[in-house]
Amino acid sequence: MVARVFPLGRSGAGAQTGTVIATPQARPGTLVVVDDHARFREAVGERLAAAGWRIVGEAATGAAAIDLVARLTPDVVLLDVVLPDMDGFAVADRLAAAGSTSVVVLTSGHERSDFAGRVLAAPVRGFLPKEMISGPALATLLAGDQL
Amino acid sequence: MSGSRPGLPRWAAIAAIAGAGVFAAVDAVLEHRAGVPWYSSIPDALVGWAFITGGVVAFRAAYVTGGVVAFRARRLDRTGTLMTAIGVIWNLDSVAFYVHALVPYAAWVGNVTAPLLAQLLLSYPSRALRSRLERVVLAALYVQVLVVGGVRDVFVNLHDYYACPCVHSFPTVHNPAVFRVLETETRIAYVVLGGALLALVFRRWQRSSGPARRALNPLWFAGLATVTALILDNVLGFVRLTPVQNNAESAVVTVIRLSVPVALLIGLVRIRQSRSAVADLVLALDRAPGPAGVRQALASALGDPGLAVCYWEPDTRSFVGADGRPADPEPPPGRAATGVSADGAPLAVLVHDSELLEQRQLLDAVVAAARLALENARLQAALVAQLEEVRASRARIVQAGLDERRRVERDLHDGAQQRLLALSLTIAMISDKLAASPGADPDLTKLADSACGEISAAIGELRELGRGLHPAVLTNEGLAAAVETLAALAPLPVTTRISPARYPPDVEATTYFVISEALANVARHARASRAEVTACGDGDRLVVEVRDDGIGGAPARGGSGLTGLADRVAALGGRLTITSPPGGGTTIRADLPCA
Repeated sequence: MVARVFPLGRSGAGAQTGTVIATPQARPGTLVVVDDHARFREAVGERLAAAGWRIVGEAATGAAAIDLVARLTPDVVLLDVVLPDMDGFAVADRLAAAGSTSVVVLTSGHERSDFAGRVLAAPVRGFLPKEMISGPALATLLAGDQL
Repeated sequence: MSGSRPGLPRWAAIAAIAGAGVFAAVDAVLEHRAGVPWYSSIPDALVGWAFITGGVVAFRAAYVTGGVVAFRARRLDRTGTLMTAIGVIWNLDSVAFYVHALVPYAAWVGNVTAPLLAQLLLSYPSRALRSRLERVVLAALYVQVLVVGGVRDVFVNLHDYYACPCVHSFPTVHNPAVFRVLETETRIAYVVLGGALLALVFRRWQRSSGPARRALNPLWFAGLATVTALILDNVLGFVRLTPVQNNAESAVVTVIRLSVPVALLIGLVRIRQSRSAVADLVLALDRAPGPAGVRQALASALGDPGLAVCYWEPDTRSFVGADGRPADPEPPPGRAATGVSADGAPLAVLVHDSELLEQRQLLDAVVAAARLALENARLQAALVAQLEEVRASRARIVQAGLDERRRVERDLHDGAQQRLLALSLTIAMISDKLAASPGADPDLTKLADSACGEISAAIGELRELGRGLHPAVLTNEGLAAAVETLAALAPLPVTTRISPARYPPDVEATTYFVISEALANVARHARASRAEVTACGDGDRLVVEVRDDGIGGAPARGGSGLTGLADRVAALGGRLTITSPPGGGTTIRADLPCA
């Protein structure tokens, strides 16, 4: 299983609200988590759900992520850079080229400097090291402050 | 150097040649006295007669002489037999014309010289006809001469058509139409079969090469000229020529026919000359030792520039070339292999032009002269092969080491690190929840915070470990970005000038570790105020330099860290050099091939 769409009722919302235009925001909205490690997706999901985010979908590969984001149009995509089929930068480029309105935040077990200047050049909001993922950190990043 | 084969003894050879000379002289006298037309057309002065007679004697004796000499030379007994047969038939034939009852048979048998000449050209110098086509053309020529010619000369009345006094033994046909048909068929057959013969001989010449061609050239050219002349002779038969033109034409054809034995003798002299090549070879081997020199000397002694020498390697039970690389002694088409052994053990295989097999004696002499040099060259080639093998295995070991480091780094990142990261998020969440619940045990909150810190530290250490094994930034972004990271971490200002190009992974990894170690040394020992890293590549090579303005005087081997790196650079076929004059800073330079 590479992609999963949660039942809409899971986090209590009545209707899909992914149509909200993604603008810099501090308020939690809908989220898709893309990472090839199931255990990590689970941990991130729990942590951000606790912070008020609604995890509407998960994907383990770049291709599944592109498909899922097109269907669900989440407010935010938390995207791992190292994926089995293509890297996170390529996924971000493809999403941008497809006209996606979802805000992309890159994450990785590597440090930001391991990707040199590519984070700045990519169509993403920013980069969040995996161990630093938390509701407040994501909110700060989305509010416009690069971490 | 006379042949050692049991064959024609010297006295028999001299007798045969002398006999042919005497026979031809008698014939010349008879022809003159009989007033044969083409003699009569020459002014009857004694000098002219003597000159012409001498010439005719030489002509008539030439085939026998050439044949006998060739027969005595080794491996040309077939050619010698055929040529002697042509000479004998030619001589007997011309004398037989004086016996009227023999004239029809003389006319018949005399033409056998044509297929004999064809057989000589096709079987020279090897004894065998090579293709079915050659056998078919030759057989057709024999049938034409023996069957059709026999019917025409023996059973059709020649007296009706030639002004010669002939007496037939059998009742003969007096029908001009029959004669004309036979005559026309004969001329057409000669032209067609002669054309085919030209093509076949030309093809043989084309396929020969090297010294063989040099020795065989004269006979083939003479043969081609003779066949061409005989074809023209038959074409001109359709045209009415005046007697003078006719005589001139047959004189020219005769002279061209004479070129065949002369050419054969020239070829034999050339083969004999090539034997002095062995003497030259001994000198050349002395001057140019080593596998390449030996090959060159053998190639020029055998006159085969494409000669290949494959040396036997007893350790690996395989053949290697002069460069130490594996070689295949299997000869391609048109080439042959000759084995050389010393004391019963295989030494080398020469892959040469297959025409050289016709000069077995030369080949044997050359091999005998070169055996000792070949033995030395084989040892050298074996050494080069072993060195090559060691070099290749060293490169493989270094490559395997780099691959292993990359694999371990990836496993750490994908395995333990991902689990720790997930765990850190979970514990952080526990910590959050404890902080948010008012009645929580403060010790529990403290423990959770401390676990959070421990996990962060573990993740950091794991990340450092991975970076030391193989930096992710190098894999992801290449040398330029990876060195930027190193420069940023260095305790002194480091400027970098590195092109953003990508290089093969082992070249990038090796140069990265060289730069990393060099910058660490600068920080530890150089007392420098600044350092500079440059890397420039041109597709074939990558040259990196780390330069500082410190105290210099670094050991030439650069300490244990750099020695290990110098080995790795060398394993990739590159060089690491350290320049460090006291007080003049230190420059470490690695130059690596990127192929």
